[in-house]
Parts: sequence; C-alpha cells; structure tokens
Amino acid sequence: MMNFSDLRKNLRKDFTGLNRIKLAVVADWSVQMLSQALRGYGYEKGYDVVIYEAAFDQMEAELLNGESELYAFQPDYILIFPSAEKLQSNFYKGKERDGRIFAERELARLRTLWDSVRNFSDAKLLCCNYCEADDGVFGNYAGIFSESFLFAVRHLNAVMAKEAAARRDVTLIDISSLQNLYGREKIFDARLYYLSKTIFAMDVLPDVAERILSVIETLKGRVKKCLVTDLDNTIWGGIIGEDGMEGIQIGELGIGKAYSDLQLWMKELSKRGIALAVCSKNDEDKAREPFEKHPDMVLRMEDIAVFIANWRDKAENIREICRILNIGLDSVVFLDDSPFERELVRQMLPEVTVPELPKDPALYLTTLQRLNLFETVSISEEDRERGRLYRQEAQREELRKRGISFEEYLENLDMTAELKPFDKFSIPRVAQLTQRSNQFNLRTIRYTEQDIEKIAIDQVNYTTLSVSLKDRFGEYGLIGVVILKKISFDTWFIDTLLMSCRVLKRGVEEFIFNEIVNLSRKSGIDYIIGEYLPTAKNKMVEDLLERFGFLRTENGQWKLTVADYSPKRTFVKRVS
Amino acid sequence: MDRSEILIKLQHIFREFFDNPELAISQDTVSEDIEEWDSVAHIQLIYEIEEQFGIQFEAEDIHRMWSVNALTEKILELKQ
Repeated sequence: MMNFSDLRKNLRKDFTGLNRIKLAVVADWSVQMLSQALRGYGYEKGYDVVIYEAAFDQMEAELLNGESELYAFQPDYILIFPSAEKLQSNFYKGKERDGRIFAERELARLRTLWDSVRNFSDAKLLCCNYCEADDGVFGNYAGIFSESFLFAVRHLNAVMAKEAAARRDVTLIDISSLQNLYGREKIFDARLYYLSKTIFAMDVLPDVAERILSVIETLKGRVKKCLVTDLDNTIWGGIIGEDGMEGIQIGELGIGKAYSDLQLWMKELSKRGIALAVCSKNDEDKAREPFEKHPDMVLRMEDIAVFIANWRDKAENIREICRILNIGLDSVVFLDDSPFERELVRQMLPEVTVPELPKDPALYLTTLQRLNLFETVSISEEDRERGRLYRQEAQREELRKRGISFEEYLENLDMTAELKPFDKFSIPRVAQLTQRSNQFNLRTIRYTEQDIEKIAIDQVNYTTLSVSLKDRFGEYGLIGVVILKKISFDTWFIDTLLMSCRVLKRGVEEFIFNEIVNLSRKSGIDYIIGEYLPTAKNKMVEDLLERFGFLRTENGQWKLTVADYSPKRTFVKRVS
Repeated sequence: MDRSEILIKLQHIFREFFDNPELAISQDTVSEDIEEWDSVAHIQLIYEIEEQFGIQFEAEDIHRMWSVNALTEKILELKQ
C-alpha cells in the first residue's frame, strides 16, 4: 500500500477520462486528509473520486434536511463516518451509563440518519462502525463491566451489525476490523488528533481509503469470482513431478501446515461461492494424484471447478478457464509462487489480479488475507452453491467436446425453467444479479434489495419475473431477471432484462422472450418497449431487441407489437 | 547542523512537498508566501520535516511554526 504522501501527490495528476464517483462524506471528525487519501487512491484504481465533505460534526443538519447542500450535490454514495472519540465524549457527558441502553440510543440516532438518506436520496449508503477505544478507566474489568465505555462501544458495534444485516439498504464498513489488523497503537496518532481532529494516523489513511473504495467497487459490480492457483510450492511444498507424493510437504507437521492452512482458506472461499481453478505446469496425472490420493490434502477434485495441468503458457490457460466458466478476466485472482509466472500473467493479462507473494511460504496466508481480495456486500444461498455449479459447467463442457451436434446436445440437456414474480426468497439473489451482471444486461441498472422490494410490492406498475433453470447435470438457480414497467394501459417498458452468462446461447433468451410475450397477451398488453444502454461490457446485447422483432423508434428505443411476434424455437421447457 | 545547512535541506523538502522544483525559500519566507501552505498542508509538511530531520516536535510548537524562520529555530534547538 502506498503511503499518504504518495497518494497526496496523485492529486496533481490528470484525472480526465477516469470513471467518476461522487461521494459525500459525513463525519464528526475532520475528514480533509481522508478525502485526499480517497481521491489519491481512487486515481490508482482509475477513478475520479469527487468528494463533498459535509460540515464538521453536522450529521443531522446535512442528512435530515432534504434541501441540504449534501443532497444538492447528488452523490452516488453517501458515507457516514462516526468516530469513537465523539462517541466517548457523548458517553461522558450523558446521564446514561448503562452501556447497552447508551448503545441502543446511538443506534436509534443512526437509524434516523439512515432512514433520512433513504427518503431523500438514491445514493448508496455506507456507514462505518466504531474503533474500540479503551479509555483505560476500568482496566481489564472494562470488557465485562456494562458501565464502561469499552463495553458500550462493543455493544454498539454488535447492534449496528445486526441492524445493517436486517435492513440491507446500508453497507456497513468494518473499521473496527481494520484496527484489529493494525492495533490501536498504529491506528491512532494522538498528536495528529489534537492538531487536526483526524482520528487515524497519516499512514493508515491509505488503508482506510482502500477499504471504502473496495466496498464501492463491489457495489458497482466489480467482484472477483475465481481463484486460479498454481500447485508446486504454492499449495504444497516441493514439486510433485520430482518429489513424488511422499516428498511433497502438506499436513500438520512443519511447513506443511502453512500449506494446509492455505488450502483450508481456499476451501472456505469455495464454500462461499468463489470458483477454484488449478493452473499448473505439470503432467496432468501427476498433478491430480495428491488431490485424489494424498491423505493430508485439504482440497479434493470436487472442490476444483476447472483443473488445468499442461505445459502451455499460463496466460493461455487462464483465458481457457475464463472461457469455460464464462467469466471475465477481471473476475480472476491468480496465485503463483514463481515471480516469472506472476509477471508474465500481469503483463499478458492486465485485468487479472496477481498478488505479490513473499518468498517465505509461512507468510502466504496472512499476506493474502490482508489483501482482502474477495470483498463482497452480499452472500446468498446460491453463492454457496456456485462452486458446485461451476464444476457442473465444466462437465457440460466435456460433453460438448465429444462432438454431437449442438442441437442434439441442447435437446439432451433436458432444460426446464421456472418463472415466478419476485418473492421474499428470491429478492436477495435478484438484487445481487442486478449488481453483478455486466454482459447480458440491457440497461445495467443496479438495485439494492430495498429497491427490489419496492418494485415487487408495486404490482400495479410492475410485472416481475425471476427465471430459474435446471438441466440434466444440475440446477443453475436463479439466472434471469425481468422487470416490466407499465407505462400506459397497453404498453410495457422493459426496465430490466438480464441473464447470467453461465447460460448463454442455449435457448434461454428465446424462452424468456416467448414467456414475456405470452404474459403480455394474458395481461392485455399490446406493445412492449425496450431500450439498450451501451456500456463497456454489454456489447453482446446490442442487437438483442432487433433479433427478437423489435423495431427501432424515433427516439432510439425499440418497440414490439405483440400481435406480430412469432414464438422462437427453444429446447427449454417451462415447468411452473 | 547550522542555519544554512538547515535551509538547504528545508528547501529540498519544500520543493518535493509542494511539487515545485523551482521553489525558492529564505529565512524570511512565511506561509502566506506559498499558496498551498494551508492548515491541512501544514501538518503534513511538518511530519515530512520530522521524518527527514529525524526529530519530533511537540504539538503546541507545531501551531507556531508557520514560517521558515520559526522552523529553523526549532530544528536547531532539537538538533543540539
């Protein structure tokens, strides 16, 4: 991570052409230096972060007033950043000494602020939790004594987390966790605080900026979906081709444990929904053996979505992995102990994230954990299934390679689909899809769960469809989202039409359009209007509406006369 | 270290910090003479000076060092 002084130097550079992010920061401490860090770090990541700094310690004034300058700024993101220092001051001044009650009152105050943002703005809301600051009044007893400040702040963090999980319209940024990483000594510079009311030491500000931008990027859909790893000296010690099964280091003893722990972490990631892939320069049978037979291996073949072991260059292999999983290169993290391979991939595939690994394998895991490579703002049941789903995808690919005709293949897949209006079970996944789908997405509108709830409830103006797909090899889960807005008594507008890239080009597009038209007939709708909003990633749907018989209108939109639509051929069958 | 050595070193730091290789400072230079030397920059500049000279100022002193002269005096004192 760069130091603060280097980030500050970025402020003089040329920001033209960078992606603009409008961020409003509301705090009860002085955020000028944080703003510099955010803007400077944003430059490194290709963003022009334009910041509105709310007046010092005026959270209520800026947020509760719909006419405030903050709302006039029309931010894309609003960050509420309360400090433990101000909280402590409130705690000392107040009459309420019971930590629990004090915490609940502070939460109520935050709730009011969060509600007003929801009321007055479409901005995505971020809120930091509190650093645990021990005021040293009760010594070791503070942790269990309900009238200590430490107790109060810990309780507040706990109830904030619970509230944020329940509401889903605010993303909580865990600053307390950052303090765990560095320790209070390193995070807080008392002199800087008294000089400038900055609650972080200067060289911690880049890390704070990084956390915030990382969450913003995730909300924008820039997520990592796949971890591609080398084998020799990366997930086990030694070289399988030379040391053999008995010689490689893995297990509970010595340095082997460092590798086992790394594998355990990878396994946990795959349970979370990150696809694991292997990319190794080895004979395939030798590379597979430990996964199949070594008793101390944590990762097994079923944990690996794509297993590539050959003597070709790794950039080519990573491209192949992306092709099989149908993900972009920018969704990939690549691990390799060899500086040569790392640099090769960095140069040939600049969109792939290639973390630098230290020489000592004992340090791999902590290095990787600290880099926070797999930020996320939501987890759904389907995320957890994804590892299995990616593996099934690889199996489908195998079948394709066997050379039957594509149509026979599609027919043999026995694809069936369920279409339903959004319900409370599907809403999280629907919202997540709107946030993550970049390619097969007509208008790329990002919605939070709160937004989708509003749409689902409004059945007068909206007709919603979630599409789930299944075939011979297993379930894909929810892979399509359709939101139709009624804009006149006989016309629908396609607000959202998106599909997961995993199921392209097998007849699901045809199936969805057929079903939309069926539904429109039943609902007395004669016209459907669609719109294509181009982005860097959705060129594939540029001509989608035209292909399905929509005609161009004068204002650049597309219109379908329902009576003129003829159903398109598809092997996908509707089951409900 | 004597005053002229300190001044040379300070000039180098100022040039780096304000990103201006032509910047010329003297014992008479005050914060008003440099547009970007505001309260936010001041603290960062001080931290940079501390690091380069291997010294540490007290919080209260930092408020009083808004001129090259005041900086020089304090650095001399601490380097004794």
